[in-house]
Amino acid sequence: MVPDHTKNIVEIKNLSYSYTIGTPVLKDIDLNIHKGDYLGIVGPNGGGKSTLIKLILGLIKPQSGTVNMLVKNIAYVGQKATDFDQKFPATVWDVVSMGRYSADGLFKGLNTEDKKMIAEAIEQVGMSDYKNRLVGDLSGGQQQKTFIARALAQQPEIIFLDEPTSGVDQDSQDQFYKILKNLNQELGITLVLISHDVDVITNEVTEIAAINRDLIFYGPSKDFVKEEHGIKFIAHHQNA
Amino acid sequence: MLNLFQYDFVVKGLIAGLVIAIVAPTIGVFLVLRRYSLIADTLSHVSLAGIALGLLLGISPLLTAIGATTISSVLIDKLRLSRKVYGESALALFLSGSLALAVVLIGLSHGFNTSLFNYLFGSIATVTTSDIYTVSFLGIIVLAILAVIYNELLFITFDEDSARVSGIPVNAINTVFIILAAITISLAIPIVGILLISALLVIPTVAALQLKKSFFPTILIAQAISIFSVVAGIVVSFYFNLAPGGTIVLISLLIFVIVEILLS
Repeated sequence: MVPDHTKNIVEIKNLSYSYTIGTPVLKDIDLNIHKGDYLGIVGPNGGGKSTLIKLILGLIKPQSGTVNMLVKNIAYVGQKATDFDQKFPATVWDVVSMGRYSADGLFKGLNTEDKKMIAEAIEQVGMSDYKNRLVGDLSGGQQQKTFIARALAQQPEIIFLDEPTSGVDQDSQDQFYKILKNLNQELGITLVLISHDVDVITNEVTEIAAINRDLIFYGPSKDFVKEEHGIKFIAHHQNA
Repeated sequence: MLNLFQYDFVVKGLIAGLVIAIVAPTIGVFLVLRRYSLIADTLSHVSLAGIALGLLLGISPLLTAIGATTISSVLIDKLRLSRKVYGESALALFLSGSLALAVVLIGLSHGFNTSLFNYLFGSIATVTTSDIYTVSFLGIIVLAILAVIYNELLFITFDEDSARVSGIPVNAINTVFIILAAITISLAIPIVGILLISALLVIPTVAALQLKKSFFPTILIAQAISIFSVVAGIVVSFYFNLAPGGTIVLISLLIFVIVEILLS
């Protein structure tokens, strides 16, 4: 599937938010997310990235401005994903199943079709051999794959990921980004990835939004970091 | 040797005890994993105010206890979500407030009588036939509703934000759950008493969690531990003339210790 990147699926207008009066963490953000985008949201810690995601997802309410979510089936892999209760009594299968609970109506339980999708999602991230293991007993990288599988089982149109690779070793990170690229390019799933690791994600994503209270850059990732004489530097940012 | 089944109150106690033994740890697993065990203690103190009101007005203390805990559980949850006070402070407000109300109500009904003492520490002798019907009926209702919301509640317990984003009505399910917890706590009063209720919700769960099984097996193991503790507690307390509530809790603690030793 070739993403067309023209159809808006999230429209953000004049969005502002402050935790304490007078010091906004986000100010007048205008941003559209298009179908098929692989958007990286970068910026310093405390720059408002996580707040922006929470606003988009409706986990907190905007104080001014609007977020218009034009799709219904949304999956979220939060920072908590690698920071969850490691003693929680749930297997990989249990966790991935959660992705199906709201999919075809609440309070219905899982049918054969659901179970097939769960097995496929686990297969897609290469975790089939571990499906009966408790998530708490897995490595950070395997846990991360499990959470991606849960998002996949939901068959979402868009997946939001907040710092998904924190606490995950380099090899697992590489595999993880490979899985994400595949989801975006082969399955056409729109991805929004928050990271403070600018170097890594500019190589992975296709669009970049840089946030530091204001939206300081938005455009193709190749324009964000320009290579010149082998030295990387960040493109001169004009205020949006 | 005395045959305990020839005593009507023992049979009634066992029936009510079995229902509670199944329902309490099922609610308990979710409470413990949500770091919400303390709400059981708070609601049990609230139930004392409900019981005192029931005794004062001459209506079924079990019903007034259910009313008081249900209303309080919803208010505690609202207060916690409003973020005006810390979660634990909301619990502390209700715990001390309801205890104060209970003391005043007890004073109005001219002091501490034996039946109130029974409610504090549990006494299967206080279980009436109508209590059995109430406990069984509400116990089944609690389990049935829990079965309906089970998957969604599991998702919320594991990862509330992701559950919300995926379209699960988190607030509504949380409210339903907390009401189920409140009802369960009230139902457990005649068996283990107000002061020991939280033990019945928490100890079998904590023991079962040590075995590191997946979610549903953990619930089944917690129920098994709880059933064994309640039945053994009632039988042992009958033959050795001990307080049943305390005996039940001590047996469940003993199981927890044995599990810990076997696993280490």
